[in-house]
Amino acid sequence: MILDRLRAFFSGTLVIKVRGADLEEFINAASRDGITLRSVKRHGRYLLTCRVAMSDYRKLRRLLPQQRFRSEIVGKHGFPVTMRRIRSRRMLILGLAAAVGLLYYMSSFVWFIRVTGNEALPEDAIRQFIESRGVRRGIRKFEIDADELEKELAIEFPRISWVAVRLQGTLLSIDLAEKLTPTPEESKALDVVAAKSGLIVTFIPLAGVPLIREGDTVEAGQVLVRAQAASGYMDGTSGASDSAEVINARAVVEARVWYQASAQVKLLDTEVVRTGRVKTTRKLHVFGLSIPLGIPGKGFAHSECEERSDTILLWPGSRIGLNTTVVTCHETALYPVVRTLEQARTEAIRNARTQALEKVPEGVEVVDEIATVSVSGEGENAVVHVEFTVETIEDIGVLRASQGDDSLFPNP
Amino acid sequence: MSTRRVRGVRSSLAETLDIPREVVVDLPKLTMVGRFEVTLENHKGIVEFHPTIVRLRTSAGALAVTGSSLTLSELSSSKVTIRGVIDSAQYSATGRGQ
Repeated sequence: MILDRLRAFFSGTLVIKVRGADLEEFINAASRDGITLRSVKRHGRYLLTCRVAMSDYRKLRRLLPQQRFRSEIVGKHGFPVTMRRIRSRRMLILGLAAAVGLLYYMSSFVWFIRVTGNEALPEDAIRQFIESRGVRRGIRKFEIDADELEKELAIEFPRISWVAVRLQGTLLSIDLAEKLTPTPEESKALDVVAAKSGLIVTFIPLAGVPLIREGDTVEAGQVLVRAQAASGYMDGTSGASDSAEVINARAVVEARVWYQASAQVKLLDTEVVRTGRVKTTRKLHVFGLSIPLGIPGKGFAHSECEERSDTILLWPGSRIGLNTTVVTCHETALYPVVRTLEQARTEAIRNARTQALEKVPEGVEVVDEIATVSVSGEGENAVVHVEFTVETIEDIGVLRASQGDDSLFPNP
Repeated sequence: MSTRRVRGVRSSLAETLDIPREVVVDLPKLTMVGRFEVTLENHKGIVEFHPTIVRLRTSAGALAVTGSSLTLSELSSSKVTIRGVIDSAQYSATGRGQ
C-alpha cells in the first residue's frame, strides 16, 4: 500500500473529471486494462472524479471512445509536478542553495564555549586564558589545536588534574576535574579538644602533648592534647628547614557527661483533645503564588492543622501536574484533667526523662539516671517539678585545627 | 468434466493442501474494516456505482454494498476498496455461485 502510494507520488497523479452516460463501463474498461483508479467519486449520473497515475492517463485516453466519454484534468499532484514548479522558481532554488551554503559555512566556526567541572577555579579565569591563546567565539574550528590547548590549560592551572577540550558542532566544550588539595584550614595542625564538658575517666594520649589527666573536669572546647612539631623546629637546634612536619594530636578520651532536663505537671490541668471532626482544604501553587482553595478549619473554634504537599496529575500517568498542599484540620477541645500526686509525679518524671534522653547521642551508653522531685503549691493547685539527669560515658575527644601559636605550626 | 465439478475438485484440493481457496477456485474474498471500509478481491467488474450503493460482479454472484458517501478508494483489475459509511454487504439471491 505504501509502495503503491510512493510510486504514485514519484510518477505523479492527475485528478480527472470523466463525463459520460455509462460510467460503470468506463471504470470496468480501465480496470480491465490494468489502470488503477483511486478516490473514485460519483457526482450525479453523468460525472465522476478520480485519481490516476500520469503514466496511465494517455493509456486511459486511448482507451476511452471520445464520443462516449469526455475527460478533463482538474488537478496535478506528485513529485514531477513539484519539480516543475520549483524549476520555474530559480530564485527559490538559489535561496535554498545559499541558505544551505551559509549554514555549512557558519557551522565551521565556534559560536559557543562551555566550561564544566570547575568548582574552585573561576570560569572567567579559564575563559580569559583561552582567549589570550586566541580561542574565542567566532574562531574557525580548524584553527583550534585541542591537544595543545589541553596541555596549556593543565600547565597554567596547576589545580586542574584532568582536562578535555572537545569540539561538538559549533560548541567548544572544556571539561575539567580539579585536584583535591586541602584547604588552608584543613592543612593546619590538629589538636584533640573536648567536644563536651565532663569528667575524664579514661585518657590515653597517643600523639602530641597531653594537657590533662584522668580525673580532671574539662569544659567543651578545651584543648586536651596539643599537636607537636616532629623535628627540632620548635627549638631550632636541628637546623630544620621551613618544611618541618607537624604531628597531629591523637588520644582516647572518655568522660562522664551529664544531660539534664526538667518538667512540671499540675494536679489540676487541661489538655487538648481531638474531637474527631476533620476538614480538608487545598492550596494551589501556581507561578510562585499560593492560592487557598478554601478556609482551613472553617467552623472549628479550635483546631490543629497539618500540611502535606500533593501533586494532582492532569491525567493518569501524566508527567504534568499541579503542585498543591493538602491542609488537614482536626477540631480540638480543652478537657479538664485531675491527677493524684503520684500520677503527676510519674508523668513529670516520664516527660523529663524523655527530654533528657533525647539529648543523648545515639549509641552512647547511659550509666546512671537521677530524678529530683519537688512539689510546690497545695491541694489541687499543687505542681510537681522534676529535674532529671542522665549520666553517660562517652568519647569526647575531637580533632580541631590548632588555635595555638601559629609560629610553631606554620601552614604547609 | 463440467465446470462445477472442476471447481469442486479444486476446492477439495485447496482444503487438503491448506491453500487459500479464493486463490485456487477464484472465489471473491470480502474484508470489512469496521463500518468504513470494504475490500473485495477477485471481483469481475462494477455493475453499478452510486454514493449509496456499489454493486459488484463476482464469481459467487452480484454483491451489493449499501451505505452513504461511498467512494471507490482504489480500483484495480482484481481488487476494489470501497470507503464510506457502510450499512450492508449482500449477495443477490439470483446467480448464486459457490
